[in-house]
Amino acid sequence: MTDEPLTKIRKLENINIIPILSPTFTNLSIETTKFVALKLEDKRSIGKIIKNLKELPENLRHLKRVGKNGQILIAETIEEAEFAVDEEFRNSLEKVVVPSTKPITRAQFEIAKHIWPTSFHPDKYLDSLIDGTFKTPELIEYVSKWSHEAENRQCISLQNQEYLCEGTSQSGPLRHPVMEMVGRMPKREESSENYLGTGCDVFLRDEPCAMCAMALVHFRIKRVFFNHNSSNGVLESSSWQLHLEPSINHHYEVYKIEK
Amino acid sequence: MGTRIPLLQNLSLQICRGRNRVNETRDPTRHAEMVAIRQLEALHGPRKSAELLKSATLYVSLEPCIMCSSAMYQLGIRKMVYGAENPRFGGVRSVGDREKYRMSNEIEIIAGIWSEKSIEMLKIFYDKQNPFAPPEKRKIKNKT
Repeated sequence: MTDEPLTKIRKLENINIIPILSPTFTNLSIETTKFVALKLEDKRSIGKIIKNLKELPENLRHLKRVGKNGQILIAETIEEAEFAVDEEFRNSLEKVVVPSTKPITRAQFEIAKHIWPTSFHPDKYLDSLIDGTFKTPELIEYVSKWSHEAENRQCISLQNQEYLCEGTSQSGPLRHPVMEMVGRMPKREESSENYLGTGCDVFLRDEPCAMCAMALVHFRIKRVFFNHNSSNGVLESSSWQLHLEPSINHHYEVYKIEK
Repeated sequence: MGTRIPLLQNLSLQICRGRNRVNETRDPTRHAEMVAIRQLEALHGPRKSAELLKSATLYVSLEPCIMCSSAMYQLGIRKMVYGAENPRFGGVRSVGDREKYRMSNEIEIIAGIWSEKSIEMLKIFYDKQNPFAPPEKRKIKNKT
């Protein structure tokens, strides 16, 4: 009994769970554009000026109207801006740099707001994937256990952390571990919660090929964890990344396990 | 998803045939193409069926999905003939393609034949709906 916690600690230190995310989430180089702003000496007139302005263009609605040092966004071009403000302000118009898209992650927001203040609606789950806080001790223990099992058993599926079924590659056309596993998926009662593989986690020794990756889409699984890249794999970042393909109607999360 | 009449032909001999059995088996991977391959394997065993497939032609009403197309490249069949393109899941050239699957072999493609008939068959197929789809994914059909 005394040995058990030690073994656990060793395992926890040796595993790294890497989410394979869309570059739109991980990208930290914020795209910018230029916009005409008004610099005011007397900040008290900010309110009055804003009241008479048109709304910001639709693609720039994420921008706050007023910048850090009291500059006010007026219009896209100098001509429009001159038309929009009183004559006395026309010499105080200048072009400023603003983020051209709304930041999606906190990390992007932290950078974007130094360029120009923007609105931000945090997605806590996504942020946890990026800053690593999704790796709770419970998750590490769970993933560590089943990715270790997958090393020999090739493909294992679980639902609510409970074992469902598994598959290993067999001789015969297309008998890959995933295809063998999905064939053994227990047929469940018809209900919205139990749609096919809804909510399932699938642990794989090897990154799946396009056939297997798409079979997992058809099963509506929730997460894929794999241990090794494959020469015909379609999930890792230098490949197609089927799980990020926008025209497909279901997307699962993908994690690479490194030991 | 899929198609109803794929059959694989070797020269002029039909070697197997399948239809979509997803709803009946409650297995969403039982597309017609996969059903046909399993039938072939059951008839000839793993080794002989793999050999037969190398010179096979697949005839199918709709562009095979990504799963089935990737399967065809891995089996190394010779030719695919299909009717309508499938912009949502099509795996020959609509959404997926050979390069995305990192496959080096080519399959001769003949597409767009009997496409009107194929689309008509698809409409009937989709009208039946997927009885296992969660309620929020079911399409409400307004017959006005």
